[in-house]
Amino acid sequence: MIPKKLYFLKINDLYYGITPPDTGLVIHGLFIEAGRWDASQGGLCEGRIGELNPQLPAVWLKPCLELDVGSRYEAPLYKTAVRAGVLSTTGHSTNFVLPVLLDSLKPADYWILQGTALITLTTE
Amino acid sequence: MIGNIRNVIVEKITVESIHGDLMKLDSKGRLPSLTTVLLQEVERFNKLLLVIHNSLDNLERAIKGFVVMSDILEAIFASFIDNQVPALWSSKGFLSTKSLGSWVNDFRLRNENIQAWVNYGAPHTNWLCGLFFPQSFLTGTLQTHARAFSLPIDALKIDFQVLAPTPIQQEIYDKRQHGEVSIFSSRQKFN
Repeated sequence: MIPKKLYFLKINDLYYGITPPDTGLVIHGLFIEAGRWDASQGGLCEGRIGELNPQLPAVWLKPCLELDVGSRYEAPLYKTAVRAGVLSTTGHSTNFVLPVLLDSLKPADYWILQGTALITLTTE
Repeated sequence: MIGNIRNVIVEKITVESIHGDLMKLDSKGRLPSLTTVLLQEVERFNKLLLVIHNSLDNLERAIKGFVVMSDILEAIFASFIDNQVPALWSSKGFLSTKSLGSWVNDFRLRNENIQAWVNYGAPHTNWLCGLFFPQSFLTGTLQTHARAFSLPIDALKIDFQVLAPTPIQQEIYDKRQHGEVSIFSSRQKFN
């Protein structure tokens, strides 16, 4: 029997070079509906044709006392593209998670009219 | 079909092998907030896993004729033929709009994600979508911060910064399946 080849994976390689921050946490796996993320174009920008749900890069959640929204767009994060849920006994929605602040060159109003949102699961 | 699903979905998430860092108590003897979140998630996963495996076993027996095909089993069978997630599973499961095939694959990723969290400790980047209840994870994050800096939790807000890399859970899964993950993370510096 051939012995099982063991190879050690560098943990930083596994997590794309992301290291745990001193405060808060890093999350990943969010999809964008009606938009696309391009850091070279100031963040949130208009989606490409044929790209239904582009991925948002990893996001660092930073707990803070004072939050400056600025000109950022508060993109609602939903679990599914249904974008509707029922209120559970804990006071949370079954679908809505939280608003995520995203940088953009365009004003927030523009994205509100576009109906841009984040989702955790795509429909396949 | 039944065998296929049974093969890709684990029996149970085990917590016996929990990583030491996750159980380390702080100076006031409290368990880390995110460990509480993790253990609650494990409980939800195991509840759903039990329902899935029970119904698969019963359905298999019903097809062979050892037990009576009940309404519930017939509904599951009909869902399989339509490539839908059976209502019995989705009622116990996480919110999803996926069809059966992608749902099973998604659930496999979730199981592996939770088991890896238990075995290797907190990942550097967390798959928020892989949890039943992401809100509790966010609260856990805030509570960790509140305890570390002795701040009231309800005064805390979450600020966001988008980073450069785009991790894909399927890739992380594949990498972890390929080989043993080194236990030396940057948190435990090796001198």
